[in-house]
Amino acid sequence: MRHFLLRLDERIQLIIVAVLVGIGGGLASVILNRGLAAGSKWLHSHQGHWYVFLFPAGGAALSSIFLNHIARDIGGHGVPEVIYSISRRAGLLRFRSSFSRLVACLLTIASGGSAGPEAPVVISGSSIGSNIASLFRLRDRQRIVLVACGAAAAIAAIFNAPVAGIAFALEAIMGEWTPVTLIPIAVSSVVGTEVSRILQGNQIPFQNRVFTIASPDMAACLGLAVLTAAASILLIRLLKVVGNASSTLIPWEWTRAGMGGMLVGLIALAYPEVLGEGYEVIRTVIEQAFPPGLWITGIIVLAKIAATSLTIGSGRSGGLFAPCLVIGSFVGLFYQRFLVAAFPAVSWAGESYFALLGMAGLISSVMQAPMTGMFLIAEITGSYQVLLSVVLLSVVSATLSHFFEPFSVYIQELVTQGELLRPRTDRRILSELDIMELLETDCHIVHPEMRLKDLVQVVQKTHRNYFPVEDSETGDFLGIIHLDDIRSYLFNPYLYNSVLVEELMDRDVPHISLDDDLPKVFELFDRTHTWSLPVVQDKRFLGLISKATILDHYRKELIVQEEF
Amino acid sequence: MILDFDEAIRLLGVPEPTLRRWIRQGKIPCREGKGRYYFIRKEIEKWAQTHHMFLHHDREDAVSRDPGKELDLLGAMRRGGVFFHVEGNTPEDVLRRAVSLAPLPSETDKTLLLEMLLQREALASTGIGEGVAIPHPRYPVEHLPGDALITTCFLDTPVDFRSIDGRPVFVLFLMLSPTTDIHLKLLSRLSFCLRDAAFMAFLRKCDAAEALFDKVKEIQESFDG
Repeated sequence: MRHFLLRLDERIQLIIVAVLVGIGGGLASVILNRGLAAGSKWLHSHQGHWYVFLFPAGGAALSSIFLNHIARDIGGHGVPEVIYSISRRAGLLRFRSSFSRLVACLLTIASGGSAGPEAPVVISGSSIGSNIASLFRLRDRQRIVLVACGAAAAIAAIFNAPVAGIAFALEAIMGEWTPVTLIPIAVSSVVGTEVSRILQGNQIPFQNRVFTIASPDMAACLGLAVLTAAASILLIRLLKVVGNASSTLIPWEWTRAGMGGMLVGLIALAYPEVLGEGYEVIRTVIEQAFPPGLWITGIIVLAKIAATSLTIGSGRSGGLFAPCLVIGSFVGLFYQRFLVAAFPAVSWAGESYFALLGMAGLISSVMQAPMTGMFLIAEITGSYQVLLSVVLLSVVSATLSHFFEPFSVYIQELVTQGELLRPRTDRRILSELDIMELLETDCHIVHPEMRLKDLVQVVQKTHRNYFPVEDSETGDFLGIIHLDDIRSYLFNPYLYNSVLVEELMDRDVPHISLDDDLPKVFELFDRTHTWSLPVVQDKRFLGLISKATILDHYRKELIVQEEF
Repeated sequence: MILDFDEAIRLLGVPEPTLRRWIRQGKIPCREGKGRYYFIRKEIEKWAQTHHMFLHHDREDAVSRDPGKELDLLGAMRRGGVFFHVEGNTPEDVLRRAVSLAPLPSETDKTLLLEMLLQREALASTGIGEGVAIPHPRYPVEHLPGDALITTCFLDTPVDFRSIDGRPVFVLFLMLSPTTDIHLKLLSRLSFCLRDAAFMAFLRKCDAAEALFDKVKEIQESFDG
């Protein structure tokens, strides 16, 4: 099988393997869905008892214990890890990641934690993609595409939304749109969706009604965009605050997750709408069957934001998609009720119209992925009628929140750590080049006791401008002579015999060691205004690195990264 | 803080056409008012940070382009002093004499200095021919008062310094500099004087410090001119 595969064209290889990855991602999402359905049924049977507020705590603690001690996998809701692996580890992901998050997330959500099933499915799908790529010994570049394929298949299957899956993989995971990556991702997304449809039927999650949309509604979108952007910024900031506070206040991870879960449980005593992934609640809102009034709706928005921050910020197993959808639908509902109260004369479109728009706004802003938001809403509601308003709202909301929070929740941490390296960026290319590749070793080494006369002869023989000086006995690197520094003495025969190399050399020369990364090297170049720097390891001179050579390699590297 | 076009060029360290192209292509945050471009420093700094771009701040440039007054050969010679009829028969003798004559601060370790001078002589003679030697220590001397100094010693009897042309040395220029860079620049200026045949002829007859300084000043002016 493998030999057969490796003989094929690279693009065909990717498409064939993408089918496998699509099946894997689809299956992972079906398994999680079934598990969640069972968990939700179990949770419902206990509804109304006083002790339910303990459930999210227990579930979160158990999921944390499972992750840390049984599966021995690191925490985190998954998507940043996938992006990191693409950015820095050539798409390598552990095999156990393909199931550990599913179990952890099942425990969190089935017990009522406010999180979504999507991110764990994403990491499962991506991990399946990565491991299949390793199994067939595909190249790094192909593995990265397959990781994105897995993510696309997972999102496509769990939402029954193939185009949203493609958009998510390209927008949020890969960070670029190219034809070479688009095709396998699309294949995988379609296969994943089909697997889920075969096993669970073609369900449109939130079947909607027919709208009558008038111009005032379109204009009102702009106001809603402000609200969704504000809610997104609040959610992003609160997630950070809870994450930082909980890791400094509580040392043990499982207690941390448990405490977060308990607080969620307490919020839920007053507002049970915040519990779980919340699809049921969204359905009620979309069916316009949510009775409470304007202010309660507004409070629920805040409660859900708090619950989500507590769940994900403290325990960090669970996705952001579903909570965003819930928050978005309530923001939309709140806005519609406000409009009706403020302008009773206008006949506004129904509550469900604004709820849909709110969902699109939250997804676009929180993930900085407007295409994903648009297609997801269109697909999960089966309503292309609202597309015009959804596009408008997603774009405006994403722009507004980008102003305050320029990076999506997924990449924020990576950006601050300097670990986000998008393809074809300066940092990416520099990170791939190694100092060893750039080393120029054809240097003329001189010794400190040599006279200027001897140095002049060396200068005559070579095309180089830099002459490293080594101790003639120990071989240690002592300094460097730059032609520019001695040019004025070269034609002064008076000095030929009386000036020694050690009097000419620059002893205090900044140098690089092999472990330095290239961004640091460039910083040194910029700071010292030089063209070449010596590479010195354990006092030994290894060679020179010059800007000219780097440019040469840099161009080649840029050229080979081009895809057609 | 607002930067004009020229200030931005200096800060970014790019040629003018490049900056114009960046503005045209919209690659850099830039404002336009009254027909000219201007930049907000904070915006440029933020932009440079997100693009990992190095900025050339004014302070650093001032340090690296310091012209320096250390090149003043005449000043170094005045500080070092001129001595006539310095006695001794071997390089070591005359160097010891020269070190003791040089107006060094009391905390200078003269024995160590002499040792470093001799070390340097052992590596290669500092006798540059035509009866002249420019002894100097192997490493730059730290904690010199003010800047470099050159102590001129006319020897009582010419001494064999194993110069390349084999001619005995009749004058020493003991050169003490705080850095190799200054040393080389002073050396280069001094050797420029020594290449002058008239100056060499004058040196052989020289008997007054002021006359020497006048001569050096004359040549230095022609060098700088």
